[in-house]
Formats: sequence, C-alpha cells, structure tokens
Amino acid sequence: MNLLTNGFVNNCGRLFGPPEQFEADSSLTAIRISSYIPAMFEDSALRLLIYDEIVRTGETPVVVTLARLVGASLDDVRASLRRMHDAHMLVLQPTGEILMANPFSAVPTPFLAEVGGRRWFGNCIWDALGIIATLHADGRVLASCGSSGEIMELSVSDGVLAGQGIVHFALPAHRWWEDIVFN
Amino acid sequence: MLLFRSEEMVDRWCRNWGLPRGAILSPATCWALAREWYHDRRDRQWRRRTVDEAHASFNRLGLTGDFWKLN
Repeated sequence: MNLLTNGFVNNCGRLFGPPEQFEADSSLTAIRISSYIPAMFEDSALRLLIYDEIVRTGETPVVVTLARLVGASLDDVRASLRRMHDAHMLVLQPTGEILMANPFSAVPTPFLAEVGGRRWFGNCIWDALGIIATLHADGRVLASCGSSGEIMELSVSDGVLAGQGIVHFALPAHRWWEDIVFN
Repeated sequence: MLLFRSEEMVDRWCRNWGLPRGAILSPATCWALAREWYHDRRDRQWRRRTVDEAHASFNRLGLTGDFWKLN
C-alpha cells in the first residue's frame, strides 16, 4: 500500500495533517512584516510576504489575508498577483488565488518536503528539493514513484543528497510554461 | 518532473502518456539544480533569471543540448 498516495486520495492531503501554527522563532522564518507596509506596496514586497507566510504558517496565504497584511484593497492585491503570474513569478488558480509560489504548492501533491519537523508540498520533485534549498536546511522529501506509486525518500544532510531513484523531465525547457501544472 | 524507481518505470510512464522519453537526471543532479534555482528565492533581491542566466545555470550542471534550451 502506498500511504502517501492513499493519504492524498482519502484525506485530501491531510494524511500528514495540516502544518501546525508556530511561533516565528526559528532560523527558517525571518519575519519582515515592517517592510510590507509601504504606503503603496510593491509586487516584490508582496512576493516576499507570500513566501514568509508560507514558511511561517505552512500554508499559502489567500488574497484576503494578503490584503489585510499589507493594508491594501483586494483588487490591488489581485492585480499584483496577476502581474507576477503573467511574469511567471508565481502561478494562480482560475479563482485568482495562488496555486504555486515555486517551489511551494498551495495544494497537496505527491511531493512532500520536510524540514525541521515541518512540512510543505512541492510542485514536483525539483521543487520539493527546492523547498529544502530555499530554506537552507537539512531535510527530506517523500514522493511517490511516478509509475508504481511506491513511496520514495530523498534526504539532504549538510548539503549532500542521499537516496535512490531517477528523475525524469518529460518536457523540454522551452515547453515548461505551456502547461505548468502538467509539467 | 517526477521521481521514479527505475528507468523501466520511466518508460512505462512515457507509454501511458504517449510521450517520448525526456531527460533523465540523477537525484543528486536534481538536488544541485534545486539549489542553483531556488537558493535565493526568498531573497529581497531575487528576480527571474534571464534566458541567458538560466542557460548558464543549466550549463554549470552539465545540462546542455536542445532539451535545456528555453528558446
């Protein structure tokens, strides 16, 4: 039985449970809230806020949360997110909410990155490892074999990766953004 | 970008999707690519790489050839 896959199917990604709220007291979370409150927020400030919220809470912030945090209107936040989506800096859902703030996925996937006992979903195996790289920490990735669904593990310790398997990039680089969700 | 147990599993996936085999990387190379690509993602100064910068990143990891061309 593949616990990882079954967990996603049966529990809507909650096999491992929602990430618990935690105090921003670790090296993973340099909270920079003060920089998010300019009179007219910039896309770059919102981008940083998104990442810090993901790292702090384990979940991708929604538009209404971002608007509250930056003191901006929903429309201004949506417009900023759309600009970053169009610039391939993140990926939005059809609703306008964030789907991917790469390497992080806003929805459960078969690519679970674990760092310091906390967990985030990556968009693919590259991104799951990218979460560990982004956090500059040791960690591990639990993933399912793309064919058999068997659970697999890659771990990183002191910057060195251990684990078995083969990574397959199906599409050539110039086609990655044709269908970023499939890719 | 998926992780597989073996090359046979990759081929099975390609048959199922009707796609030719793409590029195969070792997990270590994928980790190196992840570090190259994402180590600075939470930096204030981060910006999207230009095509030339992305190609340089790929080249540093030995990811060369048409498959890794972004244009």
